[in-house]
Amino acid sequence: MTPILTCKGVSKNFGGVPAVSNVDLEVHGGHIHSIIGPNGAGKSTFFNLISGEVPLTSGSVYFKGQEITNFLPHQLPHLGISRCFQQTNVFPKLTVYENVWAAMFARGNKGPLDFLRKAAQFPGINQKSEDIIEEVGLSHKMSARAETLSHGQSRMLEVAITLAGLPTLMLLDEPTQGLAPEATHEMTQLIRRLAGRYTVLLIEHKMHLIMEISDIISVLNLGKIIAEGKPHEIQKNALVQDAYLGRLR
Amino acid sequence: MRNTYLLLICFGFVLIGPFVLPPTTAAEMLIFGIIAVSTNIMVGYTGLLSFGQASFFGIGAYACGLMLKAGVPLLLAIPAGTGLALLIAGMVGYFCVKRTGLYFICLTFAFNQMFYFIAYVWTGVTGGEDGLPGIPRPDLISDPVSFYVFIAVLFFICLLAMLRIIHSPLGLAFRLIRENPSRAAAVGYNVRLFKWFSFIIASAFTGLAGTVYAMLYSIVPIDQIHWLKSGDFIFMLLFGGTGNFFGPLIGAVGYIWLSDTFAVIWARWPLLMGIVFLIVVLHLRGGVVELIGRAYRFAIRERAEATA
Repeated sequence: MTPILTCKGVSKNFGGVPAVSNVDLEVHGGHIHSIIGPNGAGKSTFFNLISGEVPLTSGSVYFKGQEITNFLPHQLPHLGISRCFQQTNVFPKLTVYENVWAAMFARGNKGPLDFLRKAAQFPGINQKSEDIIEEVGLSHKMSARAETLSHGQSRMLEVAITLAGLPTLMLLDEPTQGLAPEATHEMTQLIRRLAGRYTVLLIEHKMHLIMEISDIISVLNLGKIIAEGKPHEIQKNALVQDAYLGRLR
Repeated sequence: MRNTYLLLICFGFVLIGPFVLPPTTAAEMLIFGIIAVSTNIMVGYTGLLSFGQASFFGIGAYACGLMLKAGVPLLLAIPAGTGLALLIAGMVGYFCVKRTGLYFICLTFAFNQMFYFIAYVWTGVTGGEDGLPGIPRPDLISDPVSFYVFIAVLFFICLLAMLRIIHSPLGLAFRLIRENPSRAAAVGYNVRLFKWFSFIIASAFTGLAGTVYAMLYSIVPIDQIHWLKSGDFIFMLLFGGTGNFFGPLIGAVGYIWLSDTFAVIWARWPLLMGIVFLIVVLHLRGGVVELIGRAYRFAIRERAEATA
């Protein structure tokens, strides 16, 4: 099976300091592929390299066989890659519905003329936006401004906006960041429901969540992949234990 | 629905305008109303603060004025003048939107100064320091009242067109960019392209207002293309309120009233404008619209307490 996303020798130096060095990674269709690693391991930088927020120092990225190295952020959603951010990154003064609708319209419009039509003339987009908001459990907040949401609800909106891009591949950067146990559980349920329908590349810190939902786990430490495998394999890996717990002797 | 009411209120003011004010002053208010609302598309909705909008106002005015003097019919001169402003806005905007924040503002300002000095030195065409005088009006709209009617019709056409843009997905894209440009890009909007569109649309309407301004006093004074005029447009926005589509209209009316009517009573009127500006910036960030909103909420609370 050919991978959906392939990274070959992806590297990034910030002023000579390597943040990500020579990472090879393959993500297969329908998988939940997690990237774990200690703080400062380069996980978020690696995401920013794929999604075009930060230019690569060297290496290349392919999506479904097409090279997307150094594509600009706004080009990727149109190919079917959408991402969420570690720090909640929504449109604060717009309603939950507008947040999701706008993300869906970015992909769903059929040319420049659509930009001058009325919102009511897009029944498909309107319906799908409502469906996605319902899926993440924010139906009761449909017309509330994003800035009025609680932290947990904002994280859900963040994922909803990512879903609204109707992606093949979702890049989720710590969706449970700062969530209370109850909300973490909801998010876990949501990600599990997404499995199969989408391919997910996930950054996470919460170990029990990772072990529960991942198909494949890659471990990043000091900018390098030090291990890759199924959850139970990773759990037993000595290198991973070293990276997380520190070498005892 | 709310917009329909506000449009009706506007219509009411436009109807009584020429009865309470000299028709020429009322027409000037409508012309600057178009500019204030269009500049708000850029400043209020897209979050692009420009100190160069007088460029396009001036270009529209000079172009249309020169064409009318050369005997070009009005129905050709207005679209041609607007088209020229649009074209030049496309070129200027292309460079300006490459930068953000302070650098964007400086670029719009620099381009404005450039157009001002072109008008200043090109005396053979623009009349230089003396302005461009002797611009004729077609016979049909030669008297002040019929000219006012003409401007009022144009005003409502522009208002409806801009309202439509703001409430279309294009307007939503502008607001996304104001709210969070990096996220707007991450969901698939080409931020620079949409900023460029916003720049062009705002400038084209400002240019259109310029073309009819040329006929208002039959002269284009050179200070109409000076960057201080761009600053006046921003004053109108801040005074009226950028958060609402109709807010800038209040600013335009207030500004023209101060500069046309009040200036006769007190020649140092810009001093008053400065004080108003200070109050708005320090205590009333949403402009007059904010004041109306606060008064409305206050009245509701008072009534609730009275009945309780």
